[in-house]
Order: sequence, then structure tokens, then C-alpha cells
Amino acid sequence: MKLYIFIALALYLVSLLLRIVRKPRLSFVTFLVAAHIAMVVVGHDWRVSGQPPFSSMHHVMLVLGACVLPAYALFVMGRGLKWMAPVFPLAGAIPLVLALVFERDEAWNLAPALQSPWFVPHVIAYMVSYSLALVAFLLLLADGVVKWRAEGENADTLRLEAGSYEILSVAFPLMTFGMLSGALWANQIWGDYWSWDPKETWSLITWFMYLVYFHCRKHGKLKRFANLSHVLAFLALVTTFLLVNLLPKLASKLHSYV
Amino acid sequence: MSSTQSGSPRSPKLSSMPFAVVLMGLSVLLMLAGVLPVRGGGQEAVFRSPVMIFILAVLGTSTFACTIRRRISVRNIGFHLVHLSVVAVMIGALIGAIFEKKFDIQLKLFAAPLQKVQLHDQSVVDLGFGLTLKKFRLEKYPPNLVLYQGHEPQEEHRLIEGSELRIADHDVTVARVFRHANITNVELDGTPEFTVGDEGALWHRIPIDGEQPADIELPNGSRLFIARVYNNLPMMQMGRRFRETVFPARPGLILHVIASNSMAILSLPAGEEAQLLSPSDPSMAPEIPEMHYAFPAVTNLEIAEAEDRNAPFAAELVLDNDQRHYLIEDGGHFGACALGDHGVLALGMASDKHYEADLLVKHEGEEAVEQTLVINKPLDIAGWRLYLNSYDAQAHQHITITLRKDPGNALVEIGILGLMIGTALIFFVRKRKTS
Repeated sequence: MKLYIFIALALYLVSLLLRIVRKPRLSFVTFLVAAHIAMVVVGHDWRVSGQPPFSSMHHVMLVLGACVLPAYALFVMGRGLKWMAPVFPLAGAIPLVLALVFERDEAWNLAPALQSPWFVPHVIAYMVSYSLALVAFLLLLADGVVKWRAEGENADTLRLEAGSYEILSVAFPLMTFGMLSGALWANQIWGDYWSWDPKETWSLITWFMYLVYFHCRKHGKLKRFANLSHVLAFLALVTTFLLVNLLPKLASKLHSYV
Repeated sequence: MSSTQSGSPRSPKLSSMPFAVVLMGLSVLLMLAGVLPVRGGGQEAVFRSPVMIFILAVLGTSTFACTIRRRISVRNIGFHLVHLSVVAVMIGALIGAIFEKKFDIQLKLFAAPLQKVQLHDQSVVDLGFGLTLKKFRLEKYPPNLVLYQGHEPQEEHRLIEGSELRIADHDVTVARVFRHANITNVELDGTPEFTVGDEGALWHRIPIDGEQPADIELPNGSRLFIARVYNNLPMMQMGRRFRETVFPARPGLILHVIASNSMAILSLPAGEEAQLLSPSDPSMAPEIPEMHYAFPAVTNLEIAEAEDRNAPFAAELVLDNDQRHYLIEDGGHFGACALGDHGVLALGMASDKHYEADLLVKHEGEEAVEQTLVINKPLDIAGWRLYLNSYDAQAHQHITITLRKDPGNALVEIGILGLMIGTALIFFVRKRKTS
């Protein structure tokens, strides 16, 4: 299966290159094939184990790599934001690189605590929102580069910022659902909505930072802090999603699986 | 989201957006203080500190002020729902923090009904009903196939009948899988041999299962008394039942050896050197001669799916040299299959899949009613919520139940649902209208 993941990754990168050399149709086809390969691998893992394959970092990264397809369908095809198209292959490639780095566990069992109706919606909501947050952050980076080269704001930077906001407007409610469904789920199995476990706390920090971003965007005087809060929110997201699991000192006791 | 206007005669600053942003920033800083590791730990105390409670209280008040300042309309319904829900969650959590009762109890199988619980602070809580554990059921996943090198697991594979695996340069076919195996007519390619002495001058034959006290005369004329022999090496090494050990069973012995009036406990894996387990200081141990334990291959056995749900899991493997191996859960010598220098294939630890307990609940003056408490599915009885927390993994004789009574629970639940719906209304419905 690692070979298929590698092929999907390579195709995402080829799709990005084709965008750069202005071959949009070919890039789109390559992107579609890559995303479908990632989805097939996720589906294969699900079929083999008979359980949703969300129980290790490798599997979650795979899901994240496949989630760019619905995100692309929503924004580029659904809302006609075609100028955003180059960002999606890159947003699909990054998690697949990490999926190749993390150990592939082929024989996992779903712990009793994970056998809940909340499991799939909680993880899917978080994965789609994280995937969108990555796209929004890449747009913010592009905005920074354009600003730096143009030495100020112009029509392109305004469009990039608006696009980033548009994407986060979909990511945030999903993130909210993910966090709150996790609280309801925790209450069902442990009798506590919130335990201030590192993973939970970092996810609340991330949520608060994105909330600050939206408030800043709405307020004339605070608008200049919006991009800064977006960067901080994304750093908090990376900590929640990756560092809490990778750094032993931040380790989560209740979220040891992912 | 907070209102864009700031400064109102009713609440001039409390409902302003910059104030809300500052409060959120302060909350984040406090959370960072509580989550970033510090030497000595204990940073989690921040979450229950008066400063944190004060900031959250002000944030809740600010959120409430926001909603009373804004005109109520269909267009703003998401805004109001979100802000009021945040307030509801905070009030519910506060009520819970003050009035919640939560503790664990242990219920033993067939013990007398438990109605009054003594807590750590010596106070006694009357549940208002009697609770008895009638039955406990546990279901486990089939164990995985694990390649061990030494005691370190290297690879793990799911055992699916008919699957072909490539493990450590070997093709391994999973020929048959038995969820519950009935094993009969075991034939070995020889006899297990326990040899003492560097040239095999002395040997002592032991049975496959059981213990065999022996008094052996060594070549130097001294005597070696082997008091006990256990044949399930890792089981005894861990001092627990095999199911709870980290390492799978593999051929080996545990020896209680007495020589020169002092005793040592040794582990002797098949084909390996003996290791001293006790005493920990080798200078305190008697002089132990060289020992060797050889365990023959299983040439044949009959295995079939058993009716008995307590029978062990088993798998039949065919290696690339057409050799058949049987891996049997808790099977002692049949728990592992050597792959030459590449390590040992063995069944991993079977993990929990599901567990539940039948309880007898007896209210005053009423007949006892049987209710089933399932992991992940709390049970509500007379204002208490019961959670099946854990069980006695060794003997399955008792379970641990968490009991909780939280008057703020409903408010938190309503608040969470309101927050979910309100956020969706703000971002999706309004977005659709504007687009």
C-alpha cells in the first residue's frame, strides 16, 4: 500500500507542476487520480480491518490527504473559485508525505472507548476542517509572498485574504462540531465533558485562536491582527494535531491512539 | 461573533469586540500555562485556579452582554444561539463544579447489594438503591500475528484465513483460523529435553506441562535440587496470568534451583542460555552449571472449531518450506513459531473488544430488576448515571463503576447542541444567503 501512497503523492506534485506551467485540465485530471488513489487506500484499510481507519497517525494523514477532494469540489467547482486550484494538490501532498513517514499499522483493533457513534463524525469533521485550514494557511502564505514582492496590498492579496477567510468560514463550524462532539463523546464514556488533557486543551486553544481571527476580521480596528491570529491559530492546530502526539512531554493520556 | 459596535449606555465596554478578543487572548495564555510542560509538573492546577475561573466568568458575562445588546431577529438567530449557548455551557459547568458528586465503586460478583458508599473523606453516600453484580461478560479481539526479535515486537499482522503474508523474508500463509480451538492428539518430533552440564553428560526429561522436582548429581559431586519447573516462561516472568503478559508464550522453563543451601530462580528459554531472575545480585546466587532446554517441533495435532466459547484462539500457518505451525493462544509451547535467525512468530496480546455487566438493581420495597451496563453506554438509575469503567483483568471477579450525579449536566448538553447549531447557522445559512 505504501507504493500507492507514494504514487498519489507523486501525482499531487505533478498536478501542482502542471498548474504552474498552465496546463489546468491535465492538472485537474492528475489531481483527481491522486485523490482517488488516496481514497482507495483509505477504503482498502477500512475494508481489511472492518473498522474506520482513523486509529493511527499514518491512517489519519491518509484521510487528510484524501479530504482535499471534497474541499476542492466545494470551493473550486461549487463556488467557482478556480484561482484557488493550485493550492489543493499541495494541501493533499503534505499529509501524504507525513503518512509515508509514520509507521503503517496494518493490524489495529478498535478499542472499546472508540466504538461510539461519535467516532466517525468526530474524526471526519476534524479531518475536513484541518484539511481546509491547511489550504487557508497556504493561501495566507501566498498572500504574504505577494505582499512582500509587491511591497504592499493589491487586488491579488485582497483576493487571497478573502479566499482564506472563505475557506476558514467552512472549516471553523466543522472544527466546532469536531470539538463539541468530542466533549459529548467523552461525557458518554468517561462521565466528563472536559478533562483538560493536553490534546483537548490544545484543540481549545486552536479553536479560540480561530475565533479571535473571525472577531478581528469583523472589527475595523482589529482587522490588522487577523493575519497574525490566523498564523498563531494554525501553529496551535499543528501542535494539536501533530506535536501532542509526537513530543513525549506534551503527550496526551486520553488520546493515545491519535 | 461579538457585535461590531462598541460603547453602549447599558454596557459600555463589556460587550465590545476588542474586550472579548483580549479576554480570549488571556484565556489562551492561561491555557498555555496549564499545558506547556514545566519541571516538576503540576501546571494543570492553572485550569482550576481563581484567575482562570475569573477570566472565564468575565468572558461569559461579556458574551451575555453581547447578546442582550444585539436586536433579536431571524437574521441574528445564529448569533444569539451561539452566545447564549456559551453562557449555558459555562453556567452548567459551574453548577457541576459546585454540586457534582462523582466516585468509583467496586462490585464483586454475587456480593451483598451495595447501597451506601463510603468516600475518601469518610462521608457516606446513600445511592437510594442496592446494586449487585450478577454476571460479567468480556469479548476480546482475535490476537494479531507478531514477529518478535528478542522481546521486541517488530511487525504485526492481522490473522485472516487464506491471507498470504511476507514476514522477515519468509512467505507465510494463514491456512486456518479458529476463534475457539479444540486441540487433540498432539505429536512432537521427539521429547523435550532439559540438559545439565556442558557436554550433556546429564539430562533430565521433563513433561510438557506440569512440574517435576528433581535431585541431580552434578559431575563435580555436588547436588542440584530443582524444586519447581514451569513451562510457560513469560507467564511466570511477569508473575501474572498469560493473557495479561506483554510477551507471548514461547518454549522455556522457569526453574527454582537449590544448590549449596541457597536458592535461585532462573529462566531458560528453549535454545538459549539461562538467565538469573532472583536474586538480583548474582554474587548471592549459588553456582549454577550450564543448562540447556530443547523443545521439539510439533509434527501433528488435530484442531477443530470448538463449541466452548472459552476455548483459546488458534491459527495454522504454512511457511515457505511447507512446514506447518500451530499458534495457540495461551498454548505454552504452541504459542510461537521460530523463523530461523529472523525471530519468532507468536500471537500478540488479545485486546478488549467489548464488555458488559448484568446488575441487579433493588429499590426499597421493590423487586430487584436486572439491568445491563455496557462499556460506552451509561445507565441512568434514580438520578445517578453509571459508567462501566473497568474490570478485574486477572480473575474477572469484580468491576469498577463510576457513579455521577451532576445537576449541571443537562444545561451543558443543551449549550453544546446550541453551539453546534448556532455556529452552523452563522457560517452556513448566512453564507448561502449572501452568496
